[in-house]
Amino acid sequence: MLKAIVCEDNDKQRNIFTSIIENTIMREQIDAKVVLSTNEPMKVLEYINNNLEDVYIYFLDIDLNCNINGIKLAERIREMDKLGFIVFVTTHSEMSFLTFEYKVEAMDYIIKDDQSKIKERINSCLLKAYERSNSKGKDDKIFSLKTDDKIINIKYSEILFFETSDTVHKVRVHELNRLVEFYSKLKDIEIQLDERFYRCHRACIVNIDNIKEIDKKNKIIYMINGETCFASSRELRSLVKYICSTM
Amino acid sequence: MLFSIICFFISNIIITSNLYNIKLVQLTYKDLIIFNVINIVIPLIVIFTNEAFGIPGIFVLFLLYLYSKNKKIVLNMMAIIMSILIFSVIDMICGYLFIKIFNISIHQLMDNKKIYILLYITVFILNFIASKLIGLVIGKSDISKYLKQTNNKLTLLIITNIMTAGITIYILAMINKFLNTSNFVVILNIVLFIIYFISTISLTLFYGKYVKREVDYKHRQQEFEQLKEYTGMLEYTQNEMRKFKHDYINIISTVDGYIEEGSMKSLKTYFNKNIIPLSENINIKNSNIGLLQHIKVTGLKGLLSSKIVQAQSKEIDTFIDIAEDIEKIDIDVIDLCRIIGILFDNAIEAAVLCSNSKIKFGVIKRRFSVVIVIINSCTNDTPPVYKLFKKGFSTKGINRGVGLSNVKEIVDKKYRNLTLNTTKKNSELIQELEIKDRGERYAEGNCM
Repeated sequence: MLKAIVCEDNDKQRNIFTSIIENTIMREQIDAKVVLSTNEPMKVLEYINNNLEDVYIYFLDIDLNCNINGIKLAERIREMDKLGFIVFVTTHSEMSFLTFEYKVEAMDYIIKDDQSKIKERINSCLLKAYERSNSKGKDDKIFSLKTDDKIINIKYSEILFFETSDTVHKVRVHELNRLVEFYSKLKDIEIQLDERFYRCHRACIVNIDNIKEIDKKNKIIYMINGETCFASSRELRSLVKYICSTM
Repeated sequence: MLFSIICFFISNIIITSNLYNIKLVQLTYKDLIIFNVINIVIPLIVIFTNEAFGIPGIFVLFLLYLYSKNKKIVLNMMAIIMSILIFSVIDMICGYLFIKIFNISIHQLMDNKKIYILLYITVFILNFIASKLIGLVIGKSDISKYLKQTNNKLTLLIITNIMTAGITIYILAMINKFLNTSNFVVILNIVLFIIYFISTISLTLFYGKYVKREVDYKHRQQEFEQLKEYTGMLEYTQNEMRKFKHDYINIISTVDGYIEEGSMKSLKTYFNKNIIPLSENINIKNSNIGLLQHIKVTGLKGLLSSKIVQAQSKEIDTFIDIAEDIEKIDIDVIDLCRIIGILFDNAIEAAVLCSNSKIKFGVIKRRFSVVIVIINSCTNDTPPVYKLFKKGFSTKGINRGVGLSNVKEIVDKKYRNLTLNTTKKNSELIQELEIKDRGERYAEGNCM
């Protein structure tokens, strides 16, 4: 079950949000429930601390008229609940969606000033959260890596190859439309990957599914987006063998 | 005959290994192979012509090859001359010592093959050690980086100096070799050589320092200009606020007048016509620059204000998000400004091309890091992400495209706490620069 928590200091607005959420749950017939609707941020923390196992969606106001604001509250929530869905409810002037996204990985934000759209946005947030909380594991396999401040999730099918960079222990992932860097070791990454990945070079792990062609003579692997990846001559031979054997 | 060719070949190899070791220019294995081809060709030419062509031949061919590769004259020249100098100095000193130790003349030494080979081995080993050491010193002092960056009158002066001195010394050395000269002249030559050697190295070092200082100074000047611009912006906003206050009082009294009259209809039209547009205006103008107050890193604040003003002047819709105070970012502020400047310029250039140009910029403080995000709208024909970072790649023709590859170089080579992520999604290009705090946490980590 998806548990919804609302934290908003204005009583009138809080009641409106809560009733919109409850109506949506009824109408869409999703397995969810508003478990807490409060004006005190501490109560939110207390509640989830006592029920850590559940999946939550939070609707948080930014200005809580309290010693901590919504962003700080969300930060505290994240320390306990890494996977919960956080949605900020905010005014135009307090809008800082980049902070929402990069600091606490908020799922979305709803702008209060725009009365007509509130209902629609709450609706879509709830559905999205519900869908995601249920679809875990069914999806394409995901490469997941935890760093100090965030969790990196990348679909296996989007990965072209991993390579080391000039800096020690920095690994770069080449994806179809993205370049991502993080601190780790190829050796540790190799362990968690599945059979579609192959260590083709001391400094490179390639996704076989995304190879377009292999130039044996020049030891270059062409990926499906035109990018190239190098291979050592020894590994290249066994890579070709490996691909042939899996086909 | 064969013996002298081999000797020549060995000295060339020593020079090449010096060139490789001092690391002023990066050499790949392919380069080394080509150099060795040159090393074989030169002695062959020399025996059919004159021995005096040897070193100049090497110099010219190496320089031509390196220039065709990296298009840098000063750096290549310095590297090659330094390699030849190291070789010549050590060769001369060893030669002199050998003559003294074995108590023979130069010509006897050249005739005695065993001693001659021993001499070459000693020279080779000493060269290797010396060039490695010099390479280490150069690597530590960033000289090559600054030499790579600049090109001005001083550079020309250094080239002339090196060239004249090189030629003079070479002629002297040749005279020594072909005429029978006294020991005094040989010693004098060595002393001159060493003095020149030391002075060239210190000149290079001082030059590097000078260039560095000049770059710093330029940066500070720029920072000052940007801060002036920022203050100007603040003053402008302040003025706008004052005007608004004045308007506000007028508005209140007008509204008061309508209320007194009790005419709801005229109040409504007045509200819609005058008050609503006014508040919209204020929202747009103030929201942006004001947020920069959160940035406590002075240099960055100046740069950002200037870039934001620049973006707005090109009618790009700019959204700024800095929610918390940013006290400290763990990176040299000059490097940070270079990176952000390049990324922001690129964002502006790309956004301008779109029909719906937008830039979103955010600085986000996280528990152990600071993230700087620049998002710009881009057209659909923007090249794939991996191409953007290739050196020399540019959407504006050749001889461009150093920006992003410079960013990459700073991020990768100079720091161990930076990561740069690039994403293209829904006609938006997203650049995220993450700067980890290098606090005690990392010191602890290193102790383990």
